[in-house]
Amino acid sequence: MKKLFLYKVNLSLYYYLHHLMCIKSSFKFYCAKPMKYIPLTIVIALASSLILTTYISLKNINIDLKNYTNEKIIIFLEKNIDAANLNNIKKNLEERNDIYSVTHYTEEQSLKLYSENNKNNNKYENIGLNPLPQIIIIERKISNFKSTDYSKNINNFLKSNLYVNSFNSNIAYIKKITSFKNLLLNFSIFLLSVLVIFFIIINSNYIKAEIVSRKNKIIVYKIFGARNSFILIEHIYLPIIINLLSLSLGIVFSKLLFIYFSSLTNEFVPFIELTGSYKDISFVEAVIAGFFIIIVSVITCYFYCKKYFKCIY
Amino acid sequence: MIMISFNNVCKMYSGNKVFYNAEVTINKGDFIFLTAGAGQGKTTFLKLLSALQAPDKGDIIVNNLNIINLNDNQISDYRKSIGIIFQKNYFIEDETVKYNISIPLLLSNVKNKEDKVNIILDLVNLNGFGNKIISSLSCSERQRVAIARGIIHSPDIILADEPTENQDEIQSEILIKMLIKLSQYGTTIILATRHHGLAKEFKQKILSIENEKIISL
Repeated sequence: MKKLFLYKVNLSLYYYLHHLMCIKSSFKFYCAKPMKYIPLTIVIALASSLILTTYISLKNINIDLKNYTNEKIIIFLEKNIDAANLNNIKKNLEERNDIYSVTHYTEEQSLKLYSENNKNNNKYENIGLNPLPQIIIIERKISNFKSTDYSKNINNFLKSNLYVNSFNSNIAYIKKITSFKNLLLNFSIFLLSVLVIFFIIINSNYIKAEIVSRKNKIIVYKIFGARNSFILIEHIYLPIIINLLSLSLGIVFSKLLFIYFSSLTNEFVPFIELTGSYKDISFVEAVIAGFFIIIVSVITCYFYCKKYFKCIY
Repeated sequence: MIMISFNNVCKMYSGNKVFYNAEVTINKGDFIFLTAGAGQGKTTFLKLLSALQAPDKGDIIVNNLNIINLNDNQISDYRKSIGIIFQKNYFIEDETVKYNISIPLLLSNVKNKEDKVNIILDLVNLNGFGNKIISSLSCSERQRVAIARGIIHSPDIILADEPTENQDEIQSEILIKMLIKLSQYGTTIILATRHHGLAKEFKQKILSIENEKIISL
């Protein structure tokens, strides 16, 4: 019993050692024939960078959308509005379920708000020349804005009110950016699916080629009692190394693209620490992408190695 | 003590019968010459015994273990206990003789590989060939490397398919005498050959494949 246990421990240790040996020999293999693997690495790197760039764009849109959780409507009132009518409008708006903030600004306050928003805190001394009217800013919960009734009700009220000069909403921008986000999301899901299939096809062909070139070694190992897992280990690390290198290269490509896109907005973005409104891929996200690549590589290798081993035996 | 037992074994290749209800028993430490003409089932017999092929019907019991019912991992463990020398020998062509010979030891994680490899190289008359690349060897040398690889891990059973095919007479005699000596230490050896004369010359047990049956001569 003890002998059997020790034998099993010894064998397990040997298998772990075999893993390390295979990692080492896979690196050696890559370095010995880099030209064989570099084209494959670059193709997968380009594909990864495309996905990462789409992901970064989506991430930044989502961050932007967080600042627009509510629809803001600014209502410009007529100059001749009295307190009673103002209260009537406020009361009418406050009674609506989807509106949770109604704020009134006098002419002076609206001028101050305007100057603050334009990053100009100078006091306007000549209030008599203030071109801005009284305003009401309402914040409204966004819910299913695709339905036609969403804005109809409030728009009709504001249009029909004699003391409302005009009104404006940021809903058009939110609609645009949300639909663009959805478009990008669908595109990225499609892209990811296509690239995963492409990735699996490339990997399977590579594995097939490797197995055919090492046919004799596999047969010898099998004849002398190597388990399938033992032979599989020999083939699994090189694709993982290639795919991880590709992912690293893909991250570098996407960073370069990101810098280019950022420069289009005339905003300074440092290479590693990104400040401002744009966010780059984080370390944790890169690690998750790495794990994803490893999992896909291992599953592909396992499946195709078993398939091609059967053809050889 | 019975080491190998074939019970009602049937094997067909695309409708052609190779074995039909074949039965045979081989004892531990037996040295057996398996003789038959070309294409009559010598290699199939050895492949069935090494679990590289499965019979269509029947049981193959080796060392009280029915190898037909083994799963993949058990088959791998079983193969570690046998030494195989095939007619068409597979080698890792870009590796050295030493590496190729030490594969069975590598798979069983045996210590002192280097010493064992050197002893076995001496035994098959390949002294000084250890660091040569396999692809640079002649047919005869390759055959001897295959023999060395088949016996290095001291298996319970050695299955040799025409191991003397590319050897000259003297070398053949040396190798067969060496295998006979191994059988005296308890290893069961089955040597398949087309040459009845060779089998008779060494005065060992002879099995023959005739009419899809295995018969003792």
